[in-house]
Amino acid sequence: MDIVGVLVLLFVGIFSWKCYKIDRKEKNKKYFYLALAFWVLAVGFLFKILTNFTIYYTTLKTQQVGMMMVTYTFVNESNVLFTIGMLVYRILTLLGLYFLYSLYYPIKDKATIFLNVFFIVVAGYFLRSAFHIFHLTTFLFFLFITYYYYKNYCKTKDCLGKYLFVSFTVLTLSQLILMLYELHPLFYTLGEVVQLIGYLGLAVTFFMVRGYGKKTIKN
Amino acid sequence: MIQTKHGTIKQTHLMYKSNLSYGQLTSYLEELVEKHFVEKMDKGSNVYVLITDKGSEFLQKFREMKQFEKTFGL
Repeated sequence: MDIVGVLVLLFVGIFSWKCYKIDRKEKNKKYFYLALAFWVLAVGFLFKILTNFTIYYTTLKTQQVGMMMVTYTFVNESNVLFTIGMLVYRILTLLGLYFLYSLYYPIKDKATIFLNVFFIVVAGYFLRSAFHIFHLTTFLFFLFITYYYYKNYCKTKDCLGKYLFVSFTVLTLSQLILMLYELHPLFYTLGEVVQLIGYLGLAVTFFMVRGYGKKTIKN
Repeated sequence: MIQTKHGTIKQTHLMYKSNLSYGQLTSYLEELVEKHFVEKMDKGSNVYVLITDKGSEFLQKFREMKQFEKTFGL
């Protein structure tokens, strides 16, 4: 499921970067920031995929059994990939969402931006024991971004804008469901499935945007 | 505009439809011809402007970009 998210985010990021490359003026920097936001989210997902792997290693252990000293090897597991993966996933997800949020709700003051990034990194570290707070934070970010897409759809009346708004609404809902995972593990599965649906919706919207360019104007 | 006329349009028609003066149109057309987005063709007393494959490709990508901008509210 995470692989779908990675691919969708990468594709959107790459397209946005190509738009920025066409004309690298100051007014087109929004394409660059959008690409950056989606790429950071994609890399965060890659680290989440890393948490699914466990390192096994053999180690020697010595034990006294009666009058004998027995030395034997046994297989042990290391959670280092899980720990590092989750830490980087949380920090990058929060950063990516913050970049996307600040694209639509800009803050001009560089000191404030620096402090916000610092607080996000610190929060990402300390949220290791409060995963529901992490999802509450991502829920809030998604909520504000979705609200912006809703306002954009109301302004432009663009059909694809509506699909984007719906996709992000589903993604916002997924974070809400994931917050409840401590109540029952089923909520985690449900949240992941809803998140997958959200990213599939984003993928469909993105490919429809690309398809729009191929339409020829008929007289 | 050229695409709506099946890829070929008279230069004078293009001038009227784009609401540009002759000087402005000539200047823009020169740049487009230089970048191989359009070609000029003389047919008798008329000058026709044709869109090239490169021009069509650029238009396609430009439309994608504009739609992307509109959809994502950039």
